[in-house]
Amino acid sequence: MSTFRQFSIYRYDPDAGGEPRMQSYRLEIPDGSRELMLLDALGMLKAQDESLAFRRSCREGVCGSDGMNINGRNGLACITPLRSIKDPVTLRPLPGLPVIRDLIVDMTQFYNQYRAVKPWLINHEPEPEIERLQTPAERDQLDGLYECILCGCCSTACPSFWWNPDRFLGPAALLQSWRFLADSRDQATAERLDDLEDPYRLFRCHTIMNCSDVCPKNLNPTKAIGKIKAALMKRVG
Amino acid sequence: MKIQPQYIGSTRRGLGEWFAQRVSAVVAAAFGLYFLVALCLAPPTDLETWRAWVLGGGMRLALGLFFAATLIHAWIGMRSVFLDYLKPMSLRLVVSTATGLGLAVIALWVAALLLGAV
Repeated sequence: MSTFRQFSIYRYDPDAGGEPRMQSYRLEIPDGSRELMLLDALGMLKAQDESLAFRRSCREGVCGSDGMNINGRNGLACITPLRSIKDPVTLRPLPGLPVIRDLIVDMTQFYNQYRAVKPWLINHEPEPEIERLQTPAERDQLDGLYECILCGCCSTACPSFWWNPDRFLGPAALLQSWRFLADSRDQATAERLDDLEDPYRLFRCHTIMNCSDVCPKNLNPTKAIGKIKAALMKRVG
Repeated sequence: MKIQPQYIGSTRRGLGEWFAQRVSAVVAAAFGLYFLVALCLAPPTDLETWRAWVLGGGMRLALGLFFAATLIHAWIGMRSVFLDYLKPMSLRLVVSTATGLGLAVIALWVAALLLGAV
């Protein structure tokens, strides 16, 4: 005995011409199979139709390659149990980014915004012989921030990022910005805050909270953005 | 589609508007709540009582603050919507100007009412 699952998947190949379309698939899942993740099902569908294109790498929620829109909600295919999603499983590329092919999007814009927050430690003191030390309390400040895998699920779920992707940094980049602002070893707090004090880069965030809702790592970019705003207020008075 | 972030330096703007929007919301909500409760507890029985209440010294000042906060809140909120959705600069300028003029007319009208000119 087998069960069958229905899929409706966004198909688009700009190089081949033609309009984007949704293609239906039927997948047979033999009884007694181990618990399948959506990525497993996509692999099985690709065995049926090798023209189907999607990204994947680590298949365990670490690399962030297989971010996609699953039944209307962004997530990672590799950690989404197939049984947790209803038929027809509708798969679309991450919203708001240009489509390269099928479920593969061009993340240049996303990475440009990430790069813009200088996501590295800025410390002007000479490098110590061993690592720059932190107290356990200082290190705790980075929890909930450093775990971001840059899958793009949050920024591409954010309406503000859809409307102003070139000017609003987006939740992923802002979470990373706070990750370095919160780091006791970083010495560029003033410059980082200066860069954010602009009507667009930070303040296009309207606390819609789609980012926190969809983050597959259960991080909270909205909270990080709130902390940046609080840091800006604290600086004023 | 532009794919480079438009970084031309900080304008040092955004925080003030963000803060003013929150303060104005608190002022308007606090007064609105007080006004509703006061109205429910002791509703004016006729026009004269109503006029005496809303144009009393303290209430006149509070109403002025309420309308100022509401108009500031509306201006920042509408500007925010225009920044989000209106990309052509000329369209944004026209719509912002029209909104500003509309809010200014309301402000003048409220001022005239509260100062007893109408």
